[in-house]
Amino acid sequence: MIIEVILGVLTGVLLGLIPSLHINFVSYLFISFSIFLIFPNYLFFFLSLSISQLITNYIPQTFFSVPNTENIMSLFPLHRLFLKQQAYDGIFLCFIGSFFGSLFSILLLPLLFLLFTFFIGFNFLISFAIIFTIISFIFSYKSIKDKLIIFFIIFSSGLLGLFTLKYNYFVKEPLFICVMGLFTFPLLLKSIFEKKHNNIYQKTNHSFLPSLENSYFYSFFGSLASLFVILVPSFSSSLGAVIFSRFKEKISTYNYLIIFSSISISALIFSYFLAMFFNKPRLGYFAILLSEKLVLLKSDLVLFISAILLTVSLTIFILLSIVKDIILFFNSKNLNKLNIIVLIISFIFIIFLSDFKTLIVFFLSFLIGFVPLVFNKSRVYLMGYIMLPTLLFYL
Amino acid sequence: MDEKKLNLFLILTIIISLLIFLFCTLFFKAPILDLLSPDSSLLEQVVLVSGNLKDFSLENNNLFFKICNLSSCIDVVYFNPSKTNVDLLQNAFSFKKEIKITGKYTLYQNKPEIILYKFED
Repeated sequence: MIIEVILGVLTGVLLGLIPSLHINFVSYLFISFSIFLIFPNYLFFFLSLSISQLITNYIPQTFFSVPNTENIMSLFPLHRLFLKQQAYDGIFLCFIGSFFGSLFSILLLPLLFLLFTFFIGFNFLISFAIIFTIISFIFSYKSIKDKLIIFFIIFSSGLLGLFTLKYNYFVKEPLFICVMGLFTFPLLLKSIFEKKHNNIYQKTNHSFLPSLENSYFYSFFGSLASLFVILVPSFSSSLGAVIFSRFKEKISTYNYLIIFSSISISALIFSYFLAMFFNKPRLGYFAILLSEKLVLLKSDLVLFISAILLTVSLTIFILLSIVKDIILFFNSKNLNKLNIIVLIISFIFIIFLSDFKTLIVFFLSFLIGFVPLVFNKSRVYLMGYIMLPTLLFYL
Repeated sequence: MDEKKLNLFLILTIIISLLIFLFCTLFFKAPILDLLSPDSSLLEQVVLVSGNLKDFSLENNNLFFKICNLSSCIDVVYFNPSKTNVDLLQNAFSFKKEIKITGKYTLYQNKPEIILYKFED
């Protein structure tokens, strides 16, 4: 079992460094080629692979702005720090949030069990939270023109979300395709053509170090927020992070990263727990695993917890020892050329998962994704893609 | 909180998790299910069962067989077994070898069965 965990960590680190490679795609490949069957305890292999891939993914996310669908909200503060030559700080903060977030999420498992067992439902609160978030987005600007632009961005991305997520008219893997179109490709293209951003030399020493108390506090906060996010169907960790960002505007970029990374890792751990105990998948690739009957027994809870601890610690330990070398590597390269390579690799993944209709959807999401860049507005408003379908789900 | 402190936390956590693994491997023993008089209080738990194999079949990459002790049998299902494991079980079936299986004792359509987790001969 330890061998499966260690191999999962190493595989996850390798795959996590590839920009735009999504865990859903990996799980499809592994199941298609029966790669899991090599291992007697293949669920532990996949558990450690998915966790280590999530954590490692912060590195390409920082340099190429390629988001993981589970931690889209980390993209914005990471990119901000990248522009301030603080990529190393950003990645380090994500590691802190992931590590302490995983510890707190394990401590919160009994509470999750109780809440899920006796959960009556506060779904109606979610509708109010989403409406509040949308209104606060629009009215955070004073001029009518800005309000209209924000409204357009939220509404158009929301419509796209409705047709691809809720009604699923066009595509089989809508989330990945649209996230790439909305968030990744416009920024990559912008980066390629705006060469001033590509020669930003990243420091490999700290400009900022969080205190131990802040690390605990914000990680715990993230795990707690994730606990409530995971209890509500169709409510993703990214959407939870968006709503949270409207309630707590005075938190610094650095602490945001701790919270968002903690939310992401906690959501993943809670999802595995719910799949194991209640047969309720919350993430796409769990549905794939459960359909293949790759489930843990309840008596494996202790092993499950120790596998998580080992995976998170080993992953971050390995990454801490190589991240400075990775940054130095990127510093020595023309990021413009690397961005072009990432663009091509991402497009290949999209072609692999797409047919003609999906490409139209991708092109449409790409056009919508460009609007915030053209009008110099935050890309967080593109989260309307998830907000509107979720709102309609609860209304 | 710098790299040194974080590394200290990480190393400590790695050691604790490895100790937990070791503890579970050395000290956890699943209760034995007696096929002649199965204990219903062991339902939904991991159990150990010894016996010989009967009615061996592979369908849609899932293995179905019965494990028997004298005249009492219980259904066993093994989801997505590797080729090696199928061959080992086939071998045990063909040569009527007694094997020990670990799995979840559960009910499927009100009939007791074991979802096989691991086995040894």
